[in-house]
Amino acid sequence: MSETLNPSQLAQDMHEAHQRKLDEARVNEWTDVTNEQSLNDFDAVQSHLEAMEQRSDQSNFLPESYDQTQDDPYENYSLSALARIWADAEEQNDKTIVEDVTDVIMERIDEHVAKSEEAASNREEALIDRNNTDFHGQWLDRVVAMKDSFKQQDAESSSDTSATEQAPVAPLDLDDDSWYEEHHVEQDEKQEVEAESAEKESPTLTGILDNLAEAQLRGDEKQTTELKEALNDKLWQEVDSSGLNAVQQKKLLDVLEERQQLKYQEALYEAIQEQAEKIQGDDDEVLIQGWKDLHTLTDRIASLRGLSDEARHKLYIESKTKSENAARGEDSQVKEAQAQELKPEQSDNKKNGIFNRGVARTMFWFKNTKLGERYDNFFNDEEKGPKRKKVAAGVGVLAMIGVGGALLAGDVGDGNVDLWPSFIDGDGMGIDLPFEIGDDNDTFDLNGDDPGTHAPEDRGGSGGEVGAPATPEADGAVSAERQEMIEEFQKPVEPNQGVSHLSERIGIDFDNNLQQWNEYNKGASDILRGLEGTYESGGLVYLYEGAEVSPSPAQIQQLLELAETIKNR
Amino acid sequence: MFKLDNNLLVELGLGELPAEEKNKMLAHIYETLEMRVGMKLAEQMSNDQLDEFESFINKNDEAGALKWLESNFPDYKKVVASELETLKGEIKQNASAIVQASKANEQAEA
Repeated sequence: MSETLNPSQLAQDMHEAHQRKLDEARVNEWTDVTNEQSLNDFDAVQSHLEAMEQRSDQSNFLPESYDQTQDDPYENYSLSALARIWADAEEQNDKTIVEDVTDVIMERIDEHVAKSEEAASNREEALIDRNNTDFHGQWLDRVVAMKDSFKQQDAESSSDTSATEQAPVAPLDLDDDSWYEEHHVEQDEKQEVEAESAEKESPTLTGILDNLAEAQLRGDEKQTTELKEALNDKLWQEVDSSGLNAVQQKKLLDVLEERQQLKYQEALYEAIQEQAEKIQGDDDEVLIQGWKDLHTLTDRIASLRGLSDEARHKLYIESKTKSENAARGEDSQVKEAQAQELKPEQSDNKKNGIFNRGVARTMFWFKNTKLGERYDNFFNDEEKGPKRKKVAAGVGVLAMIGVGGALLAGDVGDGNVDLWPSFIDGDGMGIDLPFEIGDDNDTFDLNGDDPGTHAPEDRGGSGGEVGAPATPEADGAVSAERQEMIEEFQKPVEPNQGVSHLSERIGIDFDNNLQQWNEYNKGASDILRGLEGTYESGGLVYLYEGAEVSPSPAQIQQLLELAETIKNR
Repeated sequence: MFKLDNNLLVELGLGELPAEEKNKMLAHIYETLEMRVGMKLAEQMSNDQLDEFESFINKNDEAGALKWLESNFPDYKKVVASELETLKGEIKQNASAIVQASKANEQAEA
């Protein structure tokens, strides 16, 4: 910038240049219209003229202090002006302006919240200050009040000639605080009632949006409907002067509501995610504390938001899942990066996070559960107790993993994200353990003396009972071919492979039919989701490098059937 | 296939519980089972075995720990099954009390 230039002049020049550019654009647009449409088409021309005129009106919202050089060109716009600009841009399908203005409106709402909170805080401080005022200040207040009272009485007596009697004026008693207290308590109560009344009569836009988000999270349809209507009314009051029509208004409302919802959810998850990510590492005490903090945080958020028990439970489940996912490295933002850059040591760490957190969780139970006398003596032994507890926690978690496969699955198809292990059944609730009791087709032999078959993971065997791995086949036997498939599946995985990599091992192939492969990958991901040694990215399941994945026989069967179905289409 | 699901809860006499309580109960069963199995297995370990297993925990070596468990306690799955049966028995005995407590809570909230 030249030193001789005046900044204000420069801003003005830029403003004018901007205006000229707008005018030029309108002329060009008009030329285009007249070129493209027959001038005989009066309606079309008239309609376009009106649209241009309407947009031209928009420039009237340009405040005098508008400065094209400033960072926020919308800084001085009123909410109604913003709403109108938004609606106009939306109509013109100008996504950039729609996005920008939506952001600005949301920022305004944030500012409003901050101001409200600041005002509330100031008021609270003022009340405290007043309560702390020394007696001298109170005394002065009283003197002034009494003087005012005398003046008023004098004025009334002089103006009211018919008054024959004057009410006796009480002498000023400096030791009597009751009047002051009574007066100020009345004032405070009055102010509070007025504030409450004002809030009821005219809730803030942000207040409505907050309540709406909470009502939706609680699943309270009645209140949601009422608040949507209130939001509609409130926003209409704000943007009434902008002249938005009903359709434009509805669209703006929807966008704002959606943004608010997202913000609300993001804020919750951000806090939980932050906490969840701490629940990792080697230090048992840190891990246990992490779990406790996560409980506390979830409860506090639920309590602050006034969530119902159901919503609170849902939030807790979600936060736990978030924690598990964080430990498995399934944060959505890093999924893609992991898919490309996953290193062996990273994959091991991710996988073992489950084990580690399981230990912490069980240690938490140890500290909060009354043990029987026998175990109490065993685990509370001063010297060996801590190690025994730690090992018991670890081996318990591991045994459950060994019995059921990978711990901790994601969504089970009911729309809610659950924390339960991958052997959750398909009905959206419950846990499937891969063995039965008292059945010839047991995949796990409870009694140790039945010639039942064993799950593939039951490789250790005992009492000479190592049987062929169970399959969904009616007779409980497994073919040699299927056995080969299972063994193939259990081979260590090569880097960056999707589920199709496993499927190829058992002969599933769609040649180069990408459509079929895509369809298969989606279906196979659904079947194998949550399996130990896998992680999810972009809705598809991938395999950790080096993992020895062990899908159940039923899953293998499902994969084969899926492939068959797709091929036969 | 055996499942920790609604059918199990019905079998245990908890079919009347509301869905949320059912999920909590399944969670409780799972976590209790996890802890009891761990206690049972740890109790059977020698000092050396405790040391060995602890080293897997310290190294975060889940795969190594599982292999160690399978070779040192090949019947650990029986322990899981046995503890599950024990737990089921305990829950059955207390099922009516659990259901009544849940109903009482429900009425108190209503």
